[in-house]
Amino acid sequence: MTTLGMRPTKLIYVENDSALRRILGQMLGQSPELDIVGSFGNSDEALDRSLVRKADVALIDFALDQNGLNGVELGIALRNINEYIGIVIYSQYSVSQMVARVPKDMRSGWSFFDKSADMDLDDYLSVIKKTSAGKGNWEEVSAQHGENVVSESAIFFLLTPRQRSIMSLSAQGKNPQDIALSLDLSYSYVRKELSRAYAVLLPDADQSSDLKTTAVLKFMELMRMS
Amino acid sequence: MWLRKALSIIGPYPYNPTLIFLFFTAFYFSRFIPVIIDQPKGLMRYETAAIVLSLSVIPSFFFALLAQLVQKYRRWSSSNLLFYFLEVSFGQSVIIFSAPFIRKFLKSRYDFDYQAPLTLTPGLFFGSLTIVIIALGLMHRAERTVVNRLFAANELVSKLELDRQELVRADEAVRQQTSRFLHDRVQSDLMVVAMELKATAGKSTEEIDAVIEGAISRLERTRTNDLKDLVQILAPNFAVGGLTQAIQVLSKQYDTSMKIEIQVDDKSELLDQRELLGLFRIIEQSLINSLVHGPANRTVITVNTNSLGVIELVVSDDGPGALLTNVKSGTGSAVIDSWVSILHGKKTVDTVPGHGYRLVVNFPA
Repeated sequence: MTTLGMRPTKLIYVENDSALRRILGQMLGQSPELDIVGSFGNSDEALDRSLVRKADVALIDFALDQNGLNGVELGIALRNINEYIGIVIYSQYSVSQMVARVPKDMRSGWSFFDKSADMDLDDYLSVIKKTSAGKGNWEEVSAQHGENVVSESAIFFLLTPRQRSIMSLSAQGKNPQDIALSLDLSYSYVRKELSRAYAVLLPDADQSSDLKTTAVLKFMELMRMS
Repeated sequence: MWLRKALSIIGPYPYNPTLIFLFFTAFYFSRFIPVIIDQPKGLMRYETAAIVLSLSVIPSFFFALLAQLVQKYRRWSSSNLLFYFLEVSFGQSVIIFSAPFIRKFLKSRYDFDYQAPLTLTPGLFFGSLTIVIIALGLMHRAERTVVNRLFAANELVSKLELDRQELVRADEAVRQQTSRFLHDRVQSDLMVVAMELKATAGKSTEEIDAVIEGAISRLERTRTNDLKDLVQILAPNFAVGGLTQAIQVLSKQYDTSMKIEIQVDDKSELLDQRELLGLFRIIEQSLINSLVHGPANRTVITVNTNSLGVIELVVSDDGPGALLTNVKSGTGSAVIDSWVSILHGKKTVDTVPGHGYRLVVNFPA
């Protein structure tokens, strides 16, 4: 529903797939709340300065022409022409980490979403209009990633397999001589590897504390977590 | 023709001072062996052997030094046989000066009569010169053969390495093409078809609408679930979410088998496309190894670039590991080795049975 007296949002639409540009363009064009001021197939055409200056928001596909700018780069270029323009990036690629590609001081008024045929005109309108008003969704999107990040227990993996085997025997109460004998290594090598393992397990260790006991306890704790 | 060939066997050869030193030390030592065996067994004999060895070293060292100096400062032709003979004769004449000293020493200490034949008459000098020329010829010819073979082997290794790199590049080009086709055509067309279908919904019966709805969800499932990740694994687009996201997409495939943790520092995300692709492919193969040779419960991947610009990739797992000597070289290792060579890097593998596997790759930016 348009509010009486409110002018339609001026939209620039950039999509290199002509079929999708046509069909989505037609759908967006049905809304009286939108005025598509430019519809382009590549980044060069979209960088029309006078048009960009009068636009409120741009809907841009991330993967544009292979040798030109990508969607985020084009968004940044548009922002450099018109600092108030809202930028909406959509893509067949996952958009969750695209926010990181936008300079921090420029992220306000940026939105991202995955391309989907399930979206209705209202869904598009909602994102486009909010973004043109400066309310981008970049914070929600950037909060989505963060899976697979290295946990604290990954310190175990900083030890080499050799150090793990030495620490595991140390945790069984064996002294360096016994460990050297069991693993067919020299005594001095075992001592060196134990020191290196302690340094990995206890990077901030107080030299006055009982390094061996603390390191063995830490190693056993990590073994349980692994 | 045959004369030239025969002469080329005689010389000239580029001198190898080390070889000359070793050959003449062995030659003189063998000549003085009677001095050693004349001594009673025990410490005395060892001491004599050490002294005799030192005596053998003296002329050999001068020969080697002369060869080195001539090689470095020669102002005349190095390919002229006459000059070569003169050089060797000059070298040989060193014996004329060193022989009296050696003779005197051996006589006074061990009552041994040493006589260098070449110092006796000009005939013996030239006879000895002929033997030396032949010895040098044989020695350097053998060296030349070995060097040529080594050179050919090195050429072959370089060629194999280049061929392997070329294969990797060709493989990447095909992957890139396929990935682009899947992304630009297949995924896009599926989306367009789904949207076209959606546009027709509501214009017919409820039954047809339900069929359309089902078709749209199926198309979208294929597009977003299967194709989306496949496109990124085939040829990752690092501009989308960097190396981290590319590895995250890859690691989704292993969700049911092992937990994968990733840490890529900000500097490493700024590496160029080729370096990122190399890291990605090495990680891809390492994860396959962790799964096939394990499976490991957890694999941790870290990529860091230090202040000197050296990149370090570590892939470490808690799988069953193996004896390092039993780590076989398979297709995965070949792919890793090719990328390590393309990136001018170094690979280190560490594994102990029961304590996991750890791969470290370092390369300069």
